[in-house]
Amino acid sequence: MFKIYRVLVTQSLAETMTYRVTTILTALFGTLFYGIDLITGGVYFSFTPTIYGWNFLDYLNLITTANIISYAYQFLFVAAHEDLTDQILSGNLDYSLLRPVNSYWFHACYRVDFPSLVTLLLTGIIEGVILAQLHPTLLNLLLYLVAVIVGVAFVFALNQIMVTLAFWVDGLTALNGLPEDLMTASAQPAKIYPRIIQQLFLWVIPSLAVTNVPAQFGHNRPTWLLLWTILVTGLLLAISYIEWQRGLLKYVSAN
Amino acid sequence: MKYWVTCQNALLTTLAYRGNLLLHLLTTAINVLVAIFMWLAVYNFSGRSNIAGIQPNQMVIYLIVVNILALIFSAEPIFKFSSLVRSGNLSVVLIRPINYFIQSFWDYFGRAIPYLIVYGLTTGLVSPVFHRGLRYGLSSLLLMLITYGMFFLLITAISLCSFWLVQVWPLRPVLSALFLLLGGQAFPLQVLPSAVSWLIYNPFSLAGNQLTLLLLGKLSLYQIAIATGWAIIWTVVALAILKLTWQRGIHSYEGVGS
Repeated sequence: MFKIYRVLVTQSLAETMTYRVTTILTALFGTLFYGIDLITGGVYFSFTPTIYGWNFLDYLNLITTANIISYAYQFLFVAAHEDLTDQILSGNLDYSLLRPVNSYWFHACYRVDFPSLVTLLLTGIIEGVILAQLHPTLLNLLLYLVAVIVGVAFVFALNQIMVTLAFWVDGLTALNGLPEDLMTASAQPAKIYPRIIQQLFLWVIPSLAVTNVPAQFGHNRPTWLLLWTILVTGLLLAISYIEWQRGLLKYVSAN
Repeated sequence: MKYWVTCQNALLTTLAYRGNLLLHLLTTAINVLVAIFMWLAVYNFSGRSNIAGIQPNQMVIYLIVVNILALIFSAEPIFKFSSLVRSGNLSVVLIRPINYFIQSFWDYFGRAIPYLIVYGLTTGLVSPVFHRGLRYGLSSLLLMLITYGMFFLLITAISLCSFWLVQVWPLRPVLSALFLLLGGQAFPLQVLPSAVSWLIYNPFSLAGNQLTLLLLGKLSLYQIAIATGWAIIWTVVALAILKLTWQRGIHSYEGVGS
């Protein structure tokens, strides 16, 4: 499996080098929107030093962590997900289904998006600087990293569930953008939302927990919510896997 | 009349994919709610009841309206024109007994009708714009119409780069970012330092920030006149760009695929 993944990554790199201008532009736009988040945060905190106990540095930690989760997902899976909807709708899955590989993981890891690696590294460096100022303990730092990895898995699972819906729903393209919008909305301190929204997105679809939990570990406020996000993410991954297998039964080849 | 059919078709296209439209509105609503809750928290923790002349309840309306305006002032004509140039179908459009730009305008208008109705109803029912006398009402209406035309012409002028660029998709995130920052979608530009107050007269701000403040009744007659003046200047600039680049572009157009 690792050998196959290495080949797929090499192919992705070759494609990236072919479309160099696209690569540069994608990286630039990623940075541009992160910059807008920073400026908007700066505007908010120009009127007050703290919001619900979060100062500007804590807020930077939160939005940078949310961006790291988002860019890591994009780097590892977004190109594959974009490709997968077309493959399902055009009935072109046959070649991968015939291969002696797990088709779920083969399609999930089919391509990596190297332009996102640039923005991932950039936000990673900025987060390193922020964490150096926040001084998390070694344990909290380790749990921060675990929470980020869980966050990436959560975003992947949500997107995988939406993309796989293409087996049943055709033309509802806006559905694929829903997880991204949900994660953008979750890149804020949970406490700004009314209690009902907090409960919904901390416990039922824990998108707020996915961004807020690592940020809390970053500024030494550990939380048991991490265990819940791990549990829900595991559940979502299982659902996406079952959905994929059910979807394959519904699949119609175009060959 | 022939352009009216274009308008109807564009509206039907918007309404045909109802699921997509509803999800699009839902995601916009999510973004608006995020901004609203964040700003309400800012008001709450700063202890201020007024930020840049805007009260909390007005900020809520501001954020809703500016996001509706972001839907009205879309950049769609750029991608439509690019598709025509790349496929060579522009040749078919050119030999028809129609003016492409007028048709494109009605298409632009038709697609935005649901959002224009929302903006129009809000202006008519909630806003004080039409309760401040005939002169104020007419000036406001003039600013809205000129800004709408200006933005369409500006987007159309930008779309002509399709004659030379193979891919124009990078313009989508750039224009979104410009509307977010310069259009006042992320935050009202009035919160920025006075040294950059001139930013409010950029075309994105006229379409987003200024039309929203107009609806809130925050613009004086003098400010409306200034904004209208700037909208006219940007219209002239867009028309000049259109005239200059269309002739050159059409000469470099090869009509591949037609």
